[in-house]
Amino acid sequence: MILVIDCDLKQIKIRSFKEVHGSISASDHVKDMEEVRSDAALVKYIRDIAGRSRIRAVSFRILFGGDYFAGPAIIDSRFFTRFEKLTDLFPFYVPPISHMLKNFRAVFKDIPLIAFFETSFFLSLPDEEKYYAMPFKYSEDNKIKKWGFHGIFHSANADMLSVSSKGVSIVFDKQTTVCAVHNRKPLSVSLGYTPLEGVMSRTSCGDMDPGIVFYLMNVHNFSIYKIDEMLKNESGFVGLTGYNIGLNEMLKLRGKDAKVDLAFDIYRAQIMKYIGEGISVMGGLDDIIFSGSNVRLFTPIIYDVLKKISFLGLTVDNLPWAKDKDIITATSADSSIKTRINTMDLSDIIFRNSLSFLKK
Amino acid sequence: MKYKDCPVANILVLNCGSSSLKYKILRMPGGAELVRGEAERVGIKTKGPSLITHYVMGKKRIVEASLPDHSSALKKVLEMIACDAKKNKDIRFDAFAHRYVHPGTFFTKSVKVDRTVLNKLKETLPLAAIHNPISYGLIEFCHSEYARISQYVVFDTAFHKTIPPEFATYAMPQKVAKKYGIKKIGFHGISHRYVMEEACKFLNKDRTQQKIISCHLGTGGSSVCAIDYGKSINSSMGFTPLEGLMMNTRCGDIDPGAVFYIMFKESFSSEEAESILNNKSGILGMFSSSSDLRDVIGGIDKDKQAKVTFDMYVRRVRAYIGFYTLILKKADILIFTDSLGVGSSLLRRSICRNMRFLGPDIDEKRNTQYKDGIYEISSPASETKILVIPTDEEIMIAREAYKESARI
Repeated sequence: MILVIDCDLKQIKIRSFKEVHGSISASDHVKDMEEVRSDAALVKYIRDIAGRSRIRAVSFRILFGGDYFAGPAIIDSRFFTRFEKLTDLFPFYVPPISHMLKNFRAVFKDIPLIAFFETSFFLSLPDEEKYYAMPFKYSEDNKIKKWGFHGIFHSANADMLSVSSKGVSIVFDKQTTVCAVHNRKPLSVSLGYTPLEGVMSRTSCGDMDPGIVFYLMNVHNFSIYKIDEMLKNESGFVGLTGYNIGLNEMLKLRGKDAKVDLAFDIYRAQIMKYIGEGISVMGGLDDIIFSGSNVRLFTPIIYDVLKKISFLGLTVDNLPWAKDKDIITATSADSSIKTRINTMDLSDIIFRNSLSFLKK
Repeated sequence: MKYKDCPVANILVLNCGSSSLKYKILRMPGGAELVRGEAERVGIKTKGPSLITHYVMGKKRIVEASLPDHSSALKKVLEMIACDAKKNKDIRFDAFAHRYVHPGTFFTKSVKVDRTVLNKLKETLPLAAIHNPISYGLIEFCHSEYARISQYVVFDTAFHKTIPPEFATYAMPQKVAKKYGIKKIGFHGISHRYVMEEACKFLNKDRTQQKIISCHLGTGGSSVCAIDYGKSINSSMGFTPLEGLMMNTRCGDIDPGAVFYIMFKESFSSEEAESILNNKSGILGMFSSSSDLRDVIGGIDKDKQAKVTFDMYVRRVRAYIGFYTLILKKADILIFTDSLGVGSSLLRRSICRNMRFLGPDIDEKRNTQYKDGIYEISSPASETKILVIPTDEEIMIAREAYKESARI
């Protein structure tokens, strides 16, 4: 049995993969972090999931690996030395996650624990994409640069491309990210140093004129905390429409509510900005791949984006697209730019990556 | 009414930069230039002296003067013009026309100045902390010292009033955005509009049938504009001129989260952080020894930091060309203008490299051959015509003011 663990500060999601008669069966387990706050409770929870099966490995999705992790890593003492150096950059995340991983390490002494990072894929971003045009000493001292995000999805999408292909990979998750891939390496990415930059989300703003921040602070006396809170938690779809609802409900209001329509138009424009950037950086486009936990939900948006850029050489199939496969093709065979939708779940990708990691 | 039937009016155009004052007396409606000049190093300390380069009917004169601020520069210029007028009765002006950078959402077209207009302009001062107070100072000066001469204000933003909501709206709470008038406003509109008109004249095309991407790349500010059938539909600059491309000392696009982090880590006030991102970032921030891209280009072969800085500048222009190509569904014309856009063939070549997929295909020979005036530098096979066009904001400002004066 292999366990894939995806946890943030609120929730722990575990998918267990078990081989039964030569095929893999997966099952999901979700708990609030509060319930497994104590080390003993967490260990009991894991043992309950495993039952009598032997755990071959436990893999973790880790949100941030800084400069230290250019790929998956075995969680051992060397791992902790490096991971804990990232506390300064991600102070709310690194200490509790590190504590939890140490607990795992102490209990499951003989089992390989593997960390997969959302940022590793982007360590090879070219310098001209990585840095912001601010005084270089601030970027150096504070490690302010684009770290990127959704590297596990983008990297899986990159692996679906032929080596020479110029591809754009788009992930619909809580955040939406767009990444240009050539030679299976990232050349650009929309999400930057924090999740604020790039494409808007349910509550975050996406691209924003920094002059607005200063205007609100200097002229209208907003505090930095008020603006930070506003741009993170009160902007995006919720800020534009005034409706504090989920994206699935938001999607249902498309075509019925002018504010919702405008919000989706802005969202599409932000996605197109990064597709356009990617194409110009690569000097062409052969493939587009969409993925992420919301990718099925966002089919109408994907269709909309593809229609807008179809003049580039896309022959987009009419909706509905086939639903039953892991990989859905959205353009017809004669389309000069091939478009696919990778519906694989993040945990399934990490499971697959774990198997190949263990082979090595 | 044909030009020859229109009344003649000489318009003194004043175009302020942060440390310069460009001026021209143009005889409208034809646009003949009687006087032109530029006061340089106004209000700043530099090694060189402040000076005014002044041309009367093409004859050049350079005057050194102490120019502690823009009003003193204008006073000196007006003295020089008065002096010229004694020798040549044609040298006179009937109206002032000012370029004004950021009127917020108060004005969307050129206006004649009166007390009400002045009061409204005063409210816009914080919107462009460098440019607005300078221009406002001059407008007020002219209003009190030359009360009998009409004054017009032409806005750098007016051309962009057609940007549709999907590109003009920031994804922030709309109650805050509406309360404070926050949306994409866009700048360099006078220049983008001028080069659009010149491009269409040059190619003999109707501007209402052309899709244009205009790159105004200056040694100060830079911006890209998407023009759809004669109307601006997007600009890389936003609510303020800080957004968009990397500029001489401005950061351009940046993660606002990075701004918060720096303020927090370095204990900067918002004024300090704003000043850093406006005055110490961009090319200067990356390259540190100069804010001029031409100096960066000079060091590109031996200095790694010069190479990264240049590549960053180029990438960001390319990114906007890519985006605007998608929203225009391919451009008919790509324009390079202003000092860097016109002055650097290497910059144009680097921006257009490998762009054919999106339309533009540069002819390298024509690109390096470029000397002056309007010139096409695309290959015959290029789907998008690439043009180099020196901008002339002053004639555009004079045209607007003249049109406005005819209205009254």
